[in-house]
Amino acid sequence: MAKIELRAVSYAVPPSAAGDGRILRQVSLAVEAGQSLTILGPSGSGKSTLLRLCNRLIDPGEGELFFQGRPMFELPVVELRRKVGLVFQTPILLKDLSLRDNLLFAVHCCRKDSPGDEEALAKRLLDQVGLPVSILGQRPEELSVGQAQRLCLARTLATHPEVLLLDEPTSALDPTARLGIERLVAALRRDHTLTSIFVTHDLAQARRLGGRAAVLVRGRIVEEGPVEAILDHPAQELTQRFVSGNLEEGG
Amino acid sequence: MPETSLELGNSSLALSFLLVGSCLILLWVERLRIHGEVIVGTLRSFLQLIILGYIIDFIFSVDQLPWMFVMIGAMVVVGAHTARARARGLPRPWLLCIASLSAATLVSLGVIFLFGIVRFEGRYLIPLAGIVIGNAVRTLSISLDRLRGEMKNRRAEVEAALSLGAAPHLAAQPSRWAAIRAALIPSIDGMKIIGLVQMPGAMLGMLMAGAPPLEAVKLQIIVIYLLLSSNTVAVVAGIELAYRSYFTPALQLKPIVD
Repeated sequence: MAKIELRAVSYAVPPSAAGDGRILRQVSLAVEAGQSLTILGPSGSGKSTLLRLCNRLIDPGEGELFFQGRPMFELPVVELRRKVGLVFQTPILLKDLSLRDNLLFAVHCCRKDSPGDEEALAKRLLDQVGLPVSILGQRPEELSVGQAQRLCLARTLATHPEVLLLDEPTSALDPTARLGIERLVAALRRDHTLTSIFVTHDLAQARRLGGRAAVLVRGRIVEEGPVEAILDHPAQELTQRFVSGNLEEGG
Repeated sequence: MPETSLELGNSSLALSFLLVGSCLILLWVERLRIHGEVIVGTLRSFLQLIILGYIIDFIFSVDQLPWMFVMIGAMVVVGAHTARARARGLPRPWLLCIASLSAATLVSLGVIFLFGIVRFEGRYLIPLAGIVIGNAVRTLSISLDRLRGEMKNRRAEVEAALSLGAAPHLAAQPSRWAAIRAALIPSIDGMKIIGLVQMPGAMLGMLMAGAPPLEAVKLQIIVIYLLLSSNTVAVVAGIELAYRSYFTPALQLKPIVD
């Protein structure tokens, strides 16, 4: 049974001058428990929308999403969101909270968790993303983008998610910070209790991440398979064009 | 309290148009073409207040509670109509404004009359209800407008909080707080400088009606605390009702369209 599955999912926004508003078209995708998947596609192809659907920040117009074989809408939405954690493209710190309260936000917002020793939890979370505990003494605006993104990752891990969704988490970072986050994600992926979906438009990054990949172009999954095979021997014309850099923005 | 010692005849009223005239003359000298609006404003204020005078005169002369409640109800409805413009995009904005203004009126005037702070009589009830509702309309409008702006600007933060499993109440907390603060700060700041620059209305009225200054001051103090209470009730009720409608039953943030 797949950990997370999309069956013929379509999503559209109201049509505008820019297009017909259709963002995802009949997307079917399954990720088994403990597996990691990279979703590769040009910007505007619907990658972020796909992850937002998995965290139920939005619901599909057509089709269904499943978590461990159960339709997502049957699960209490808060419980689902805590099991399917989402890290956004740009680090979004809650401005009115201290860094410590940002880190432990998910713990504080659900009291029934009974965190026990918050200090120990904070230290463990920061260790996991390679940040020193002393960083909690800083103000949110003092962090570099890379540090902020690490903190956001730790904040998501605080819910003990079973699935981790990463929406181009390094696109706002400089090359060094980017590699740092990639190494963290690689370490998390080696932990086979965690299922993860990593979204990127960066071919080199997809190659570094390795594993299985799916190519999303114009709201459709056009190809799926081992990432090397897709990058070196694309079977579909759209994949070939994307890999060779001949696909316009927006797919 | 002595009967009004200020005898204002119709001739006084007619002569007061000289003051409007001074405005019109200056506008004419400046060649500023807003005299049309000045005339409309002058006539509207004249007519509206004369009509209000007759209505209150009627209600005082009948001196029956049901009529007073009808008048207060009408003030709430008219006030809700004004505040509703700021509640655009929300479902049932009319109901939301009526509920908030009614809560503000009931709670604040409830305290005033139940504790006997002011004697329960029509000549106190009607003016106090008027000042409460008038102020509450303004603060409610400010807060609803601000809530909308905050929810729009903080969209990413609200969704980040939701994605971590926060309930809408918590995800919208910074926006709710900003909206409440923005609406109440003018009242709070006003309390700090009251009496230093301009003489507040209730006190002015009592002084001119011949009351001893300290009596006038006591009433004014009660009125500002009354407004503090009623403004807070209106804003908190309005925001607590309004923020929910930015979310779907599945705890998703709805698109905010202009």
